[in-house]
Amino acid sequence: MLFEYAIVAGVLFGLFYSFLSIGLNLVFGVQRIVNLAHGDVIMIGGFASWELYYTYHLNPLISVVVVIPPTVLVGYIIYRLVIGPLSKAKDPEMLSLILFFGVSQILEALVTIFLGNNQRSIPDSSLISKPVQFLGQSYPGVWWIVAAASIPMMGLVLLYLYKTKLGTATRAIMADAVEAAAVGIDVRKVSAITFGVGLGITASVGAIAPFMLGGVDPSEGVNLTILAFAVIVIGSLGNIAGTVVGGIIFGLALELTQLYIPSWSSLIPYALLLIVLLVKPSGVLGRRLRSA
Amino acid sequence: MQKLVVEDLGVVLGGKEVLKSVSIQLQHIDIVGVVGANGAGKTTLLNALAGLIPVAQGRVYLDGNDVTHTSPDERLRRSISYVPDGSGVFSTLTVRENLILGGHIRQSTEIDSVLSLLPDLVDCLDRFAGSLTAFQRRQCAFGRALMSQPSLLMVDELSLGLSPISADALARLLPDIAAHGVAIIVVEQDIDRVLSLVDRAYVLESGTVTIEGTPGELLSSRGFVERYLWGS
Repeated sequence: MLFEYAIVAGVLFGLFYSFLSIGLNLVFGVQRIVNLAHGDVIMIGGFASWELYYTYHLNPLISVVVVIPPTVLVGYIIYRLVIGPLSKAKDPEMLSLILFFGVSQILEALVTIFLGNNQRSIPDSSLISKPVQFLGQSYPGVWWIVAAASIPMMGLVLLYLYKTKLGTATRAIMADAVEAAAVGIDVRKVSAITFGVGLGITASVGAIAPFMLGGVDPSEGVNLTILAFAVIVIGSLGNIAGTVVGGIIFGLALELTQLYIPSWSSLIPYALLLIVLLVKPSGVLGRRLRSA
Repeated sequence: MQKLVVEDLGVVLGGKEVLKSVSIQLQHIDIVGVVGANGAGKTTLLNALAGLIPVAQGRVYLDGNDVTHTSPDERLRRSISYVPDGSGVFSTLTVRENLILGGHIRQSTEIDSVLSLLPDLVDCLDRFAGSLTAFQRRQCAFGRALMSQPSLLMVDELSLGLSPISADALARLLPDIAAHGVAIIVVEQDIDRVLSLVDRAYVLESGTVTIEGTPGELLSSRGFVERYLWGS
């Protein structure tokens, strides 16, 4: 029974991890750089959700949507003012990494200064107070709510990518930015929008992340960035559909190691990351979609 | 009026002068070839004409208008289209998406006229371009470029990675495309193939045009024959 529990919990957390990582992969796919401030954007989303809940009694599920527009706008402006011009530099990838590292440190410091370094949490009752019975086991209701919320949000990202003109242009840039320019796509504009969307979806997951992470605190950004990076590498860098698979594999690995070898649970998922890099560097879905 | 006039074009990449004082001309229905060894600057020339890299000196005139410093999308609007080397397709997009993206600058989603020229693509419209054969990918690249209804089409490395039969089949497309009023610049390694296709050819060596003329003139040039045809 414990095995079944771990599998179900692994899938529920896996969906959350996929949602948590999809923005990082979206930005990587277009920019070819890792947003080292990714986890801090999640943290900001978490604090925003906390603030909205305690100040305006806003349901965190509504905050999932509310935080998107301002973050998209901020992301678009940051891209236009800072990241876009960096692309003309001699080594834009390295400069961008340094930039995002700096942004990560600044965000953590600012939140600590203004809100303190204590962990904040939102009560489960703001979403659901009862546990959910499934296959004879009892699970926290918030796990199911967060996993259920993750599916349509990821679906929206996939709809954006596969059913809109902007999304098609985004995928063209992900495939080859130079050729995208050659067919007349405004690469800088589409990249700026995609960066904004990537940040928006990342802040969005932050709004419900406290329920899965036990709360939100200013220092959690680094660990979340590493977690998301592991998920997108396992699934396939630059492949959004791969992120969904990568998140579920990561969730299952984490839950199963916590069940059978709990002292190793913090290590095994990253060992999985190394195995994927050694055995299939393109990620679990990398080859199929790249050759498809 | 000439379709394209390139005057004294120079390109510097990474501090190195890759093109030096290149001048070429195209009539409205010409097929012009650019040949030369690897590293001679052929792809750089096409990239510069497509607006993908900046030029350091010289001018580019299209239909008498100076387009030297216009953006790639502006050149597409002015009917310059480009089939780059390699596959020339977005491998993670379907063939249909590739074609539609090719026409987006002109808001053109009508793919039937392109498919009539490239009928092999009809059965693979909903397949990812990365899953196609090399020949189909090249056809898809041609289709994508033709979707913008160009009056000047530039083709880099026409036969790269193709079997001789596939390369010949693709080469036979060029006169059909030209018959629709499209001027063509084609870069090709196979000298015999390119001379059988073009009205005029330019030989690039170390970024400079060293020989130019009609296929007949090139074949009567001792220097050209010694360097490019002996032993082939």
